[in-house]
Amino acid sequence: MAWIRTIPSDEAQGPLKQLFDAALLRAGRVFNIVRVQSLNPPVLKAGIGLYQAVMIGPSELSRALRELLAVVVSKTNGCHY
Amino acid sequence: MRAHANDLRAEVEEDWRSIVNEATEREPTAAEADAFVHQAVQDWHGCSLRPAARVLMEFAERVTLAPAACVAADITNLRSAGWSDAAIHDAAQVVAYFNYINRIADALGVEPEDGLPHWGAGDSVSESATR
Repeated sequence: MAWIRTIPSDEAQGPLKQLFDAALLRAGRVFNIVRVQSLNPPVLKAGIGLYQAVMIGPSELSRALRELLAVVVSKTNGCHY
Repeated sequence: MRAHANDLRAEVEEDWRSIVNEATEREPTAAEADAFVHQAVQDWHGCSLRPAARVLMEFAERVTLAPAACVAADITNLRSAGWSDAAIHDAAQVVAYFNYINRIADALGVEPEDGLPHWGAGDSVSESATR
């Protein structure tokens, strides 16, 4: 469990339920990094939009280059997630 | 880290030329792709990268470790490696996004995902995934 309260899937309603449903369709699960933002659905929604635009949207940088950048940054930060 | 490494593994075969060697004729084998991701997680400096990709990763490291120390010459360096300003912009966005989301994960105690392969240690994915 994260260190703050999060909302279980079966308690999600309205905009949060829509975001959880979309995450399930996309990834087959609600990732912990998504659920930890469940107390503020507008911020969660904006963050997912930024992620998709930056990581999946059109770019001269290949998808693999962008994923390698993600690994390099996370490793440099010592972030285990 | 583990979640991102998994995403890298999903893309590395198709985009092999963009990160390892532009001139390569064939796709990597699954074992080669696995080995690349293990090495990237263990120590990306040891990955076989094409020069332009290496310069981009060094930029990512610099922006992450010492953002205020970045200078215009860093951008000139990226241009010299062949990157357009649009590509440099997009790289900065990726680097900034992951610095942001890493801090959300670390600050709020986000736990690793269950059931994802363990990259960066051990000899094979399937072996380490059963630990």
